[in-house]
Order: sequence, then C-alpha cells, then structure tokens
Amino acid sequence: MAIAETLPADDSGLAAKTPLTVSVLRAFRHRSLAAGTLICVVLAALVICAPLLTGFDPAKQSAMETFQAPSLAHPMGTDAFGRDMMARVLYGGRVTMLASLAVVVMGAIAGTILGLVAGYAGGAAGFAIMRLVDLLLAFPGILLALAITAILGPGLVNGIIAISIILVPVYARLVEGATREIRSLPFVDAAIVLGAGPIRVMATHILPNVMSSVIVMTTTWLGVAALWITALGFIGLGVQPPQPEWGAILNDGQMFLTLAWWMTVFPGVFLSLFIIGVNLMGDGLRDVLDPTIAD
Amino acid sequence: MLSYVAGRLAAIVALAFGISGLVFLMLRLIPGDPVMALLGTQAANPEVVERLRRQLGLDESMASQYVTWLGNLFRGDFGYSYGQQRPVSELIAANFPATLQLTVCALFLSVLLGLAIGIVAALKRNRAADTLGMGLALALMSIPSFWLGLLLILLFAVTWPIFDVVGGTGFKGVVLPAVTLALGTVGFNARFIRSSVLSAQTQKHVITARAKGLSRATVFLRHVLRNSLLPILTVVGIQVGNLLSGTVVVETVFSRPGLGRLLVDAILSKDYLTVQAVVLIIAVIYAGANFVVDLCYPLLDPRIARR
Amino acid sequence: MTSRKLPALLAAAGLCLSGTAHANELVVGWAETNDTLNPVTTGKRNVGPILSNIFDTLVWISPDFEVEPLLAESWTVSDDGLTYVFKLREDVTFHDGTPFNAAAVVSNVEYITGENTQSKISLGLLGPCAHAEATGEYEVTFTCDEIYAPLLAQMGEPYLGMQSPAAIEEYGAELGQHPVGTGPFKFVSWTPSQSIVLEKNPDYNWMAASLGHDGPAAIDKITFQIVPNPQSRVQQFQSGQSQVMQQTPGLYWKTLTASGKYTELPVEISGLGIFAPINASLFPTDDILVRKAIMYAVDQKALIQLAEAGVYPPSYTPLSVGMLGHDEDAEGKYPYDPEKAKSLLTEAGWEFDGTTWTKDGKTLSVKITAISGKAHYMAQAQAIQGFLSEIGFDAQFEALNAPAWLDLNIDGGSTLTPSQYIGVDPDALHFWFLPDQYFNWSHWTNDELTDLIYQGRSELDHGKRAAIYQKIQDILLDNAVILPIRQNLDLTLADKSVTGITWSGGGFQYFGAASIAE
Repeated sequence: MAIAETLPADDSGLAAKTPLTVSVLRAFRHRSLAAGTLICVVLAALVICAPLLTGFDPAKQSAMETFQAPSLAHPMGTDAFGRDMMARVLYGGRVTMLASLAVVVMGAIAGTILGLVAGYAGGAAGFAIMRLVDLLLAFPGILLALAITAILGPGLVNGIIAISIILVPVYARLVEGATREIRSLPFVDAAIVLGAGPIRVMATHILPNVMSSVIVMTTTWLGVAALWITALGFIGLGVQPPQPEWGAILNDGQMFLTLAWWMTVFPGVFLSLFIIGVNLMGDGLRDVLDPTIAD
Repeated sequence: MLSYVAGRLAAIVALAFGISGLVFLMLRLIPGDPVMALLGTQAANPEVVERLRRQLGLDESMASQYVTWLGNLFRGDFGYSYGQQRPVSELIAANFPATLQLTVCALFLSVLLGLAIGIVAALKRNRAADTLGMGLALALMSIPSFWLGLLLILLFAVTWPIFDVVGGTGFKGVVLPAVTLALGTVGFNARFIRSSVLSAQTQKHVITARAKGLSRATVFLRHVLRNSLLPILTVVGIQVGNLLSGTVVVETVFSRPGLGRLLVDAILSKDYLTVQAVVLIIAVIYAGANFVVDLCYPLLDPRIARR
Repeated sequence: MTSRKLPALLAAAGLCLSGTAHANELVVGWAETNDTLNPVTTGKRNVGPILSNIFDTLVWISPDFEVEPLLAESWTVSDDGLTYVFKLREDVTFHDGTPFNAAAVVSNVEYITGENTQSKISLGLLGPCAHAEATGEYEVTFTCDEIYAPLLAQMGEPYLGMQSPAAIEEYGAELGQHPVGTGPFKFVSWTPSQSIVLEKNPDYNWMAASLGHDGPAAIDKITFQIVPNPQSRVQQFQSGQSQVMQQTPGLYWKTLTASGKYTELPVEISGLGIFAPINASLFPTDDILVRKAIMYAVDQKALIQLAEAGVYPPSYTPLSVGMLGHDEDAEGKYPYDPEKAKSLLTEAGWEFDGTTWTKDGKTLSVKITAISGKAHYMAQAQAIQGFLSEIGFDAQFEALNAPAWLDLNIDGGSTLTPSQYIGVDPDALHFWFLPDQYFNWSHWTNDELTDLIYQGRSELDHGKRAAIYQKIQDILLDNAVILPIRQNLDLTLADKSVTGITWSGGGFQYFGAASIAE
C-alpha cells in the first residue's frame, strides 16, 4: 500500500551503532518517510521562524495597502485589510499544524480509553459504548463537526474538540477489538489471578499491546485531521479573526478569487504540502511499525 | 440468508431511530431561538414572536415535540420547514436529484480513475509508472477539496471559461463539482485497487494460469481482474458515504443546489424539521449503500454465500 | 417520493436549457434564498423586491419617499388621525381574474391578522391600524387604536401587497408557492434555492404615475437565479449568464463600474443604515466615556475603505439619508480622533502601559460579534476591531451563526455588532431604543427618549415630526449608544442594454418599467 517499497536493508555498516540509532536510520531508508519528514520539518521550521522571515504583524491592518499583488515588500501580496499575506500564511501555519496535532492526540487518548473500557468490561457497558460508537460512525464526519461547533460556539478550541470527537469512535472501535482479543489471552488471566486490578491490567498488559496500532492509526489520521480542521476554518467556524489559520485565510480569499489569486493560491499550496508531508510520513511509519500491512 | 437480510434491515431501522434521537437532542442544544432566527432583524416585536412560537408548536415541551415528530414520521410526514415554508419532503425532492447526480458522476469518475491508476501501478510495480501513480494518489488524497474547487473555478471557469461558475444541473455545471468531489477519493481508490490487484496476482490459481502458458493479458482479465472486483465493490460502498458528506463542501463552493447545502443552511438557521429529515436520509442512504454492497458479495464470490 | 421527484427533475432539466436569456427575457443574479413568496409570512427583507413585482400595494413610495396613488386613487385622514379612508381604482383585476375591490382589501387584512396566519413583517407594519372595513364597493376604511403616523408610508412596503382573496381561500398554507397579486408580473414557477420565474401580466395598466410607464411591462419574462456565493454571482454576471446582479461586493463594484460597461443602480435601502449598537449595560461600555472613546476611535471612511473597497457613503447618524428627520449635520459630532479617544479613556480612569489599558485590575476588553455567513458584517466587524486595537483596546472578535448571534445580542453578551434595520419611517428607531424591545441591543433606555419616540409616532405634522427625530438623534449620539457605519445600499448592476430598472422607497428593485434594447 505504500508509495515506495522499503529498500532492501543492508545493516553491515550500522553494526557499531546503538540499537535505537539503527532502527531510526533504518526507518529513514524508507523513501516516503524521509520525504514526508523533510517536508514537515521544512514547513515547521518556516512557521517557527516566522518572526525572522517577516517583519509584519499578521493582524496589522493597513487601509492604504489593500489587495496588493506579490512584490518584494510583500512576497505573497496583501489581503482585503492590507495585511501581509506571508505573515498570515506563516503564522497561520502554526495554528493549523498545532491544531491538527492536538486533534489526533485528544481523539486518540479519548478513543483509546473508551475502547479499552468497552473491550475489557464487555457485557452491557461494552455493548452500550460500542452501539454509541456505531451511531457516531454512521454520521458523515464533517456534519458531526458542524453540529458540535454549532453547539459549542465557533472558535479554535471548540473546533479542535469537535473534530477530536469525530475521531473518538474510530479509535474506540480499533482498540475495543484489540482489547477483546488480548483480554482472552492466558497471560491476562494470569495477571488477574495474581491480583492485578482492572486499571492495572489495562495499563500494563493491554495498552502496550495495542499501542503500535494506535500510533499507526494516528499517523494516518493526522492528515485527515488537518483537512477537517481547515475545512472548519474555511466554513468560518474555526479560529476567529484576526487570528490567521490556513483554512480561514482561504475563506477570506475565496470571495476575491478572480481579483486577488494570491490570497487563495499561497495558503492552499502550504496547506496541501503540509498534508502531503504528513501522509507521506504516515505511510512510511505504517510500513516500518506495522510490517503486517505492507504488501 | 433471509434472517441475515432481516437482521441487517432491523439494524438500519435501529440506527435511524438512534440518529433521529441524537439529532433531535443536538439541535436543541445549539444556542439560538428558531423563532427569532425566522424573523432575523426585521420587525420582531415580542407579540409577533410569541404568536409565531405558538403557531409552530415550539412552545411545547421537548418530549412532546419529539413524540409528535416521530408520530408524523411513521405516517411518512417529515413536517413543515419553518425557514422555507413548505413541506420538508418537497424540499428534499427538489434537492435530492442534484445531489444524486453529483454523487453518481463523482463516484463513476472516482472509481474509473482509481481503477486506471491502481491497475497501471500494480502492473508496473516498483517502476516509474508505479511511483508516479502512487505519488499522484497521495497528492490527490492530500489536497483539500475546497481549495481544489476554488482552483478549478479559477482555471476552468474564469481564466478559460469552459464550464459554468454557478454549478447548475446541466453538463457544463456538473463537470467541475463532480471532478472536485471525485478527485479527493481517487487517491484512496487507486491505492486500494493496486494492493488488491497485487494480492490477486500472488494467488495460486493465477500462478498456475501463468504456468500453463496463458498470455499475460488473458491471465489479467480472466483471473486477476475478476478477483479484484470484490474490493472494488467494497470501495464503492465506502465512497458513497464519503462522497455524500463531501457534497456539503462542494455544493457550497460551487453554489449548487443539493441536500448538502440544504442541510448546512438548515443547521445555520435552526430549521429543526429540515435538519432532522435530511440527516436521517443521509444516514439511511449511507447504511443502505453498505447493505446493498454486502448483499452483492455472494453474487460475485459464491464462497461467501455458502458460509 | 418518486412521483414527487419527477417534476423537480424536469424543472432542473429545464433550468439548464433556459440558462441564456432571449430578447425581452431577463436573468437576475439574486443573492439570497427565499422563505416564501407570501408577503404576509415572509420574514426576509430580500424577498421584498421580488414581491414588489408580483404584488401592488395601496400606495406607491417613490425612492425619495413621496407617497403616491397605486391601487388607491386617493385617500383622506380624519382630523383625529385615527381613520384612513382609501378610494380604490375600479379597473384592477388579480392575475387569476378575481376583481380587486374593497372586499379584497378587507380579506387581506383579515388574513394578516388571522389567528392561524404565521404573519411576520406584515403584521408589524399595520401597527395599531389592523382593522379594515369596506365602506363602499371601492372604498375601504382603516381605523387605528391610536394615532400612528408611520401607517401611510408603511402601506407602500411590498409586505402589504394585495393578494387575491380567491388564492388565500384556495391555497391555505401553500399560498407562498402560489402567489397571486395584481402586479406587473405573474408568477410562473419557483424551484427552491434555485430560481424564481415571473412573466409579464398582459392586462397591467395601473403603474404608479411617477414611473411614466403606461400599459403592461416591456419585459416578457424575469428569472431570478439564486446565487448566494458573491464570487459566483459576479462571474455569472460578467460572463453574460445574467443581465442584472444584486448585492455586488464592494471590490467588484469598484472594478466593474470602472470599466464603464454596466449601468450602476445603487439601490438605497432606507431605515437605520448599517450601524453597530454599543452595549451600555456591559462592562466596560457601561461608562459613557468609554463609549465616546469608541465613537472617536472609528473612522467611518477608512472603515469602508478597509471592509468594502470604499464604495459606500459613510453614515454618521442613525436615520439614513432621505428619511424624514435625517440629521445632515451629524458628521461633525464624532470626527476621527484617536488622541481624543485616548484622553477620554484616561479621563474615565483607565491607565495605559503602552500596550493595554487597565483599571482596578481589569483590562479594557470588548467583544465584537458578527454573523458568520455575512461577508460584509464580518469585514466591518474586523475593521472596527482593527481601529479599537489601534488605541489599545483588547478587542475580541466572535463570528456566530444567525440564531446564536441574535440570542447573544438579545441577552446583552456582546459589546458591539454591525447590524442593519430596514424601514420607511423613522419610527423604526423604536425597535432599537424602547425598553423591552428585542432589538434594544444598546441595552439602554432614557425616559426623555422613550417619550420622544411615542411623540414621533403620534405626530402627523411633518415639520414637527422632523424636529422630534432631530432631538432623538441628538440624544442617541450624545449618549454614544450607537455607532453609525454606512449607508445601506444594495449595489445592483445591470447590463447597458437594460434600462428603466428602478426601486420603490425602502429599496425594492422594480422591473415593471424596465425594458431591454434589441
């Protein structure tokens, strides 16, 4: 399923290195992982160094400089309020990238806990949790996010919560299945007989065994989280002005598509590159961490 | 088999029931008074507002509103849209064809392109065409559809005005939205089909057929492709749902009529009954599509039917 | 469902065939979806223009607010101001052939006030005068419970357009899908969220005299294509798929009018213009000095430049230009003066440390809200935010969907929010400044103001009324409870081949006198 196959490993030169370095280096022989990491690192460096790259304040309005085409002073032009687009794109990237990360981390934690409980407890409680999960999965994701932000009110934090709620059932289903399987293995029974409480069993015996699937899942969903968080921004329910965020910048630009192409093209290119980078990384990590999926 | 079908149908009904309750509750949690929303900032003196609330039955308790709604639903009545002042069923009937057209066109495009890219990539495994095809698939998966839609408008409706900007239901109006909607799912399809073709190629009867000396083309058509049909069906099932929820964004970007836009407008204006009906329909279509796909499996693979 | 889907499919198929207009057919790029075509039950201001082409009202309001005969030939007002007698035209028939007479007017009023009618804007317009009686075959008498000066002008708003009594009887709740009026255009079809089609009423011969047009309309067919996305609407217009477009975004108006290829129709929507009530019950704007600081800190002209390419005239007083009592001299009241604003804040006890203002440990923080779907409100709110941040306010912004936005502002949870209010009479102010009104978003009342608003409503003499509204505007501005932003215009563009498009007072596009050059 990966873009590029893992290259044949030749570990002879690595023998002297520590095991961790070996596995990291080996992982980076995977072309898509390397390419994805490179893209993400470059983008992250750009947004982190935003203050060094541009002297403009992304929120500073200037009535005299609205809708300027890209120039030396404003390499990505200016928007309807005369704000520097490069500053907005760079500072906006911070928000988009951190928010996507926050979404998957929150979704993964909540979903894993729910899945663990459902899978371990089983019975009526497990059944109830899983039917709720089915219900949530039957909803088209973006609509659920729309409804949740409508309830919570717009804003970045609420948007992050809404999208992580969509991810919860996805994780819960994965972890529940794995937990049920592991729960029936003899070593778990042994631990229980030896007096381990349910929380201890879940934390020390089950969780470590489902962790790798959760991590693989997280890398594949990071790109989707970025898509959804920017879609929310694009609809106007994400961050609130004047804070920049890629989806919200695209929303600002859409009205002036034919008059100011730079307002749409630049943030879109950055956003797409970011998601491509994340997906490449996800593919690579999945191949490296979960050899069973590789074809 | 019969009991399987009955079980699945019952599950869909239960799902519809659960969804309706959830939606009903969520809608009422959303802040904002639907009666005020109807009047906007026009001439809303308190008497007019209260009169209207009474007339719409919104002065009743939540429980009694839900019971009334369910009762009407069983009689096939979706109720009356506050915002558009006509039966919800009429609104759905007016908007559904456009969404159906968009989804079907996009599904067709998406599967076709996915097949082409997937098969080429599988046959040329580990060669330039494979890397290129899979790179394309990944790029298409990654580009947000709302941005792609804007770019397509900019290029093919503004710079070179080949297609209409306002996505009507004519040919010139449906092309760009359908392409936008399809491209987002092509990547997934291409990957899925590539890996299923690859795994079909390694199956014993395929290897035997090759050993018998059949030509590559014959082997591919008779054995490999046939074995890949099942996964393609799975893809169709998955994508119906994805495409349906994708219409929400695409219909907005292209100003196209349809269920997606109807739903977003209804959520934003708190048009309770319209939201309840549309969400229910989307969920049922979603579940129904998967059900139909599952029913088709035994037809393609007798081994499943025997189980 | 299948039988119901078929007509919709056919309509959809028909739509794509009728994309290009033929001679004497007009395609109009319309910006908002309709809730209904029933004037009585509509709650949307933008349905008004479509209604004014299907329905006639008893009187016609010219763009400069002259009240002229339309379905009523003449009228008299009793000396006590409580009785209005309208003499009706005798040659008018509805589109369905029903004759128009006093009984028809009475049926309309009974329908509006009917217990089962979901009346919205219309009911408010009749005010205390919702009693009509046929005092002759062609004479109808309205009686009021109290003197109500706005009545005559409001009679000319399309929401009080006369509907066929036969249609009211026949269609019931479905009346909004079968509008039958006496206007220059007859209803043909309406595909929800897509288009509304009207055709010429060949029998029409009673257009308001000031329009200078005899006989039926020159245009055979009008299609209102509903295109909410402004970008798409502009594209549609530029590519010739529509000949008229409403609600042109500022920047496009600037570029398109500069080309000289189109006719400009800045339709004046009367009322209170675009303005932002300042919440006087919420900290820190409960202090009049802080409110005044806001008034000095915002530069209307630059705001319009930022938010809407500078294409709208600014507004400095709550009543729009041309309305009775509009204060010409309000411009000088709060000139743009950020230094003055800062000194007012200092005077109010706030201390500035170079970045933020603080007082008793609290920061000078205000919350600006806007409806998320409305691009112009969003832009205006962001521009206001920019001006306030400039002098050190911590200006928060929140975009909300319409119902939540209404709720928050009714509850007084927002400091400032751009809004609009449409009316043909200055009494519209009462919705925003009387106690207990939903739209008292300044959350501020004043006994003198309340008295004046009631006086204005019951004063029939124009000169005296104007003086009352002058005083009202002074009070509102002196207390800095409303920040006027700009005039409310519907920037409409038409192809040069289309002439004669006009509007009725209040801002309702009217195509009855329009024609298309070959």
